[in-house]
Amino acid sequence: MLPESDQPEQPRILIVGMGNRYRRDDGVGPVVAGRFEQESGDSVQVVHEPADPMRLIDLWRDRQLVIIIDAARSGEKPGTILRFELLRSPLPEEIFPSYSTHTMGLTKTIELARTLDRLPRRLVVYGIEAQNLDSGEGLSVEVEAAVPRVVCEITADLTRNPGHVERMPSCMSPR
Amino acid sequence: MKSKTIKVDFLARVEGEGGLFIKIRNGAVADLRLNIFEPPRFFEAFLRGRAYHEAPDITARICGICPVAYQMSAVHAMENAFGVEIPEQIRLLRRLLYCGEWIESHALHIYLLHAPDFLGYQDAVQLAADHPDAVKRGLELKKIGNELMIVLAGREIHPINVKVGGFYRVPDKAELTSLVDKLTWAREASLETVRLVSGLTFPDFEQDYSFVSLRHETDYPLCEGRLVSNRGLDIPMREWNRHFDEDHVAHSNALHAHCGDSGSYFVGPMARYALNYDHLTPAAQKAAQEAGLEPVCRNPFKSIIVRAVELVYACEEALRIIDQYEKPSEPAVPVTPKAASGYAITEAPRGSLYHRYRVDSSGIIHDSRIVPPTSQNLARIEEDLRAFVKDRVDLPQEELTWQCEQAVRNYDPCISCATHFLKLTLERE
Repeated sequence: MLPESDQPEQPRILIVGMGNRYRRDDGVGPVVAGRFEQESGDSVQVVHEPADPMRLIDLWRDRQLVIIIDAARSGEKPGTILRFELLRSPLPEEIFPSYSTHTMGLTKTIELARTLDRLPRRLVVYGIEAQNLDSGEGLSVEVEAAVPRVVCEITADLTRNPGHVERMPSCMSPR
Repeated sequence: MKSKTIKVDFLARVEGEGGLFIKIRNGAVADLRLNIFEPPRFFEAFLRGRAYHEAPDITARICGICPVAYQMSAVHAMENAFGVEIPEQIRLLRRLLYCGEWIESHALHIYLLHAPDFLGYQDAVQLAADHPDAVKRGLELKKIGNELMIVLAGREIHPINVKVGGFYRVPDKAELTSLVDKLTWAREASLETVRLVSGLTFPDFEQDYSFVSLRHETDYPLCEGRLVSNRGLDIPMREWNRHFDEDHVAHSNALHAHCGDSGSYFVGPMARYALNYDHLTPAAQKAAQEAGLEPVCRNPFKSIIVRAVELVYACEEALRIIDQYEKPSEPAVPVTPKAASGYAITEAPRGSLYHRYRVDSSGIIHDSRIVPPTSQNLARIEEDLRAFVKDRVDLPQEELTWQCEQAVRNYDPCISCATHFLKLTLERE
């Protein structure tokens, strides 16, 4: 028998900012997740830059809603927002390639969790098309401009979620 | 002329980036190269001009899967340079931290990286579809190893609590005893792991290896002891340089290491097991015997069993240490730098990891040398592949390619470490 999960009273919503702030636009996940930081508390937990995506399998267990934000490489215009409902179909690996040399990437982690019946009740991944993934801090103009729009979409996800949190980041109109 | 080329441009499920090239001509291996094209990482140069106390945190960044090994070799080398003796409880905490890393790393490799090879699955996701309970066990073991690292060192990847002289903070007894139930489960799960992997099918392949590992007077080796081999080598850590060479080969950004005249050698679980079987716990020895392992195992494919036996040991050692633990009054002993050279070897999950530093009187690092285990095993991996392919040249291309990749993964190679990166595509000619 496996030991029981030791997360008795966890927030029902998990927001995960994937990426690396020191690789330019790859930092968009943590930047967007950071906008929800002050909402962290009883109902929302924000996690930044998990070094090992496999940890997510435990982190998202039994959650009502999990939202993951990551940089994407789909070939669309930089700053384009892609949205995936993961309970229906896998995340395309060609858009979210794994750069880790030491663990499974996000796409494989999601499929492993799906196979083991360990996905959360709802899983949404937002991909923001990156322009620049070089070393260094700061987002490109196009990706920076996408941040308020993604925040707005995530806010809508949270609002639609039964038992949603009351305070939300101010939702700015798309530029 | 009949010619066959096996070219694995990228190797998946190996830590880091490398590729394998084998050319078979007229039924014989004409050329074989394990290409390591991860660029050199220059850590030894980064360390020049940095303070001695920065070495454990800088070198931990070399590897996301065995950062504790880098931290342990760094702190022990600095303590060796400055003549610092650490108290027993600090020594035990370091062993406990290392057990966490062994558990995490071995569980990852056995269940998610290596087992799919034996059972004919492309990856752990496929394996999980048919063997969900086994994969869940592997994930849970990995998680328990991670938790041990988090309690002792702040976080599981690139820990932040290790310092020259000890730790920044030491845990209360209660923090450690809170892990006892999980580690007790992990010990049973490890025994189950040994039973599981011993039932796999292994290619009939043995080699006369030169095994090299630490050997300690009383304990299965982690941070202390002398470096020994089954060929009569028995040296203090500081003499590593006199007995081992590293050579550059054109097809690899990682250096290849050799031991004196005897050439390639083998570090890691197989070597530790062969040279320290008597220091395993009775339960680990019994598990090995029941798995059909002799005290020396020369079939590298059975390294998956040896790793599982070490998993049993690591869980038992962790439980022993927690039982004996008394919180030390100070988390670290004082350290006064002096102009000196320091040497250390510790046993990373993949094998012996050598660090040497030359430091000035104000504690500034003037030069350093870091020799990771995979770099030491590269020449040996190529020799295994040559010997393995030699008798299997008539196998269908796909089967031979699969078995070659499996043979590389016997070493759990960490290419990131050895170069101071791996994806997989296959091409045939």
